Amino acid sequence: MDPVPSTPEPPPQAPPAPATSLAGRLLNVFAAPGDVFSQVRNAGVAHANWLWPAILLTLAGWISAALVFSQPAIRQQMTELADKSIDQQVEKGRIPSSQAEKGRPIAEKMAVTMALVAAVAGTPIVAFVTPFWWGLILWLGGKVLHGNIPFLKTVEVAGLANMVLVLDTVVRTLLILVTGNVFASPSLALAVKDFDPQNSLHGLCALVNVMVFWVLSVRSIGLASLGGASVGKAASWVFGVWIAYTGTLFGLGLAWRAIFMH
Amino acid sequence: MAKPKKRRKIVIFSVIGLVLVALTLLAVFKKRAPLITVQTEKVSRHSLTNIVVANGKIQPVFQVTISPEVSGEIIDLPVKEGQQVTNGELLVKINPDIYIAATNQAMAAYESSLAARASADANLEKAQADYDRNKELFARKLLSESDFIAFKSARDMAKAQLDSADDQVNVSRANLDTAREQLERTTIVSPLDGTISRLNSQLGERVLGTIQNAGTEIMVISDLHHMEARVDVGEMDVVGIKPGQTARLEVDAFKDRKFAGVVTNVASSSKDSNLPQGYSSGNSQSQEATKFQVRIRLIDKEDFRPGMSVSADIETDYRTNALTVPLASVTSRSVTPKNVDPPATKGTNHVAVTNLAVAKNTNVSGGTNGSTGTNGMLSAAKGKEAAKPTDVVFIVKGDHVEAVPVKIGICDDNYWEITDGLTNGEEIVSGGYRAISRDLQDGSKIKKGVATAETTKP
Repeated sequence: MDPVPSTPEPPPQAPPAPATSLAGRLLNVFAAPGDVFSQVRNAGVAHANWLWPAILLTLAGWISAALVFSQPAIRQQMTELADKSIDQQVEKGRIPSSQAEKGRPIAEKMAVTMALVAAVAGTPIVAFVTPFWWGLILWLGGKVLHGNIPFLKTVEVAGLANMVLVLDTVVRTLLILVTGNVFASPSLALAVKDFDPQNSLHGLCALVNVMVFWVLSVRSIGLASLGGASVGKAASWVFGVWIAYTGTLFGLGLAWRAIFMH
Repeated sequence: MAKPKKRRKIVIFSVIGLVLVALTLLAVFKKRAPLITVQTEKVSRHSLTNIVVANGKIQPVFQVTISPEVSGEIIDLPVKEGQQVTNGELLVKINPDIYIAATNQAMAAYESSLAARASADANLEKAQADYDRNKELFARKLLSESDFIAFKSARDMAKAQLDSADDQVNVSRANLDTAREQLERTTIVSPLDGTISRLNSQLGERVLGTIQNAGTEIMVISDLHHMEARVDVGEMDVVGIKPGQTARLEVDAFKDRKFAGVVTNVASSSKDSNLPQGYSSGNSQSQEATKFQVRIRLIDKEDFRPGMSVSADIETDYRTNALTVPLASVTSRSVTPKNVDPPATKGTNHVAVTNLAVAKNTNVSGGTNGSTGTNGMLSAAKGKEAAKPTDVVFIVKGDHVEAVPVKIGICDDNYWEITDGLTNGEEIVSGGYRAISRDLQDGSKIKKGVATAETTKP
């Protein structure tokens, strides 16, 4: 009788990678977002993935507002902007000169206050809404790419991607402090001398922002990881949606100015 | 496989860290002072005419108010407003009846007094004759002394009565003259050639005379061929105005035309200086600035009417080819005098460590607002020299400005004359208004920008 050949034993499987801590996930999203989002895909729902970035983004925004609006150069710039706005209203005949002079000191004082209030009040709204807004976009992207992604997972991915926005807030704050220009950002606007927020071309330059492209890329990687599609297709969806609604808002802004300012 | 990933993470985090550290260091060590947007011009030479602007009314040079000296009813008014009248022409006739009666009464009294005088004269004659006759008898001792004295007394009394009658005649004649005078005054004629510029009374109206009252102003006669502007000038400007200075006048009724005039008179006292001491012309809220009246004779002829509004530009001073800066360039700042030595105290934040220390706007006494640098310098200054406001102009020095005290002379609508402190061709800050009047200090960093409505406001 011939001996029965023994079947080769399967190679020993590598043990599964241990789950990264929350801090690890928040940091690794900068360097290895694909790994982070793979873990998110395989793990259960973890609300900390979107909650903590939102909290950090809120805190960063408040600290940034406090630092920026305490600078004399920034306060000077804000009052000059308020003056310029009043002068344009007078030149167009919308308000009489005497009324403008009465309102000028109030407008100058209110310019900084209103900007600070907007920054303080707006930051938490943006921080807590964007994970759900972009979660919805990524979820719709999953549908488009023939995937089936739970909505909360896309929220987690969008929330983790917001860590790039935290970094963006820090970088933007430092740039404002260095340049003394409240419109400074890591974009082509840095190359513009005498940035004018009412100039369409200057506004377009501000949209070409390194950090915005980075966060869109991270969201694209997240969509690809969750939906099992290629990064290229996911990026097409993410960038396409961003261009569409940014372009729409930009166009609406131009139309508004054309109708009401001229 | 894990190593390349780990290496990539290290690289990415290192780059992020380096960028953040670099930006942080830049933000900490590179102080950004506020950049103030300004407009600049060069100091230049212009001819200047100092002009004092004043408003007032046009009035005739010669103007007479006709008021009756006697009271009564107007029975004849052959003139009307706007009519030209000549010297001596009948203007008004007042009812003379009562004055005729008074004249007749005075005449009667006068004639009665004349008769009384004649009687007194006759009595004196008789008494004198009796005295002369009885004096002779008394001398021959044919008359008693008492009887002689009686005749003497009678003569003296007759003489006295004659004197009294003479006086009474004089009184009566004076009364008659007065009555005749008043009768004459019921007819009023024009004292000059002119135009009746205002007629206040009508035929049949009762008017009051000026003898014991203010009198009714019946009409005003003006010589409209010679007109003058009577304008009100503030006390700060009146010291520079002298008779003979030329003026350009703009009359509201004749827009787009300018008329030439010459100052003929400057009032010595203000318009309300005639008020009794302690009298307030109104409550504290309605007090007006002190004004002095200046009269400007109009050289150009036109159909001016009394009361027309006029605005006068009086040329008080003139400079040719003077060093000038735009009006908006000159502002006021508190500066410490140049002979004040900087204090020896350390650790104070000086605004500028130069011979000229420019402090932020403080009160004149200085040193009470808690500002450490300014207070330190002022308190250590010799002779208690306090920061006082002075005129300064901001000179552009590259990317910042330097506040330079200047001495100013006259000005016109656009430029100040600079008599000291600047040289021709220097670049100075000429706008915006808020930057010059409030924001700019010595050493402030600037950037040149476009003028806007606010920046061009004087």
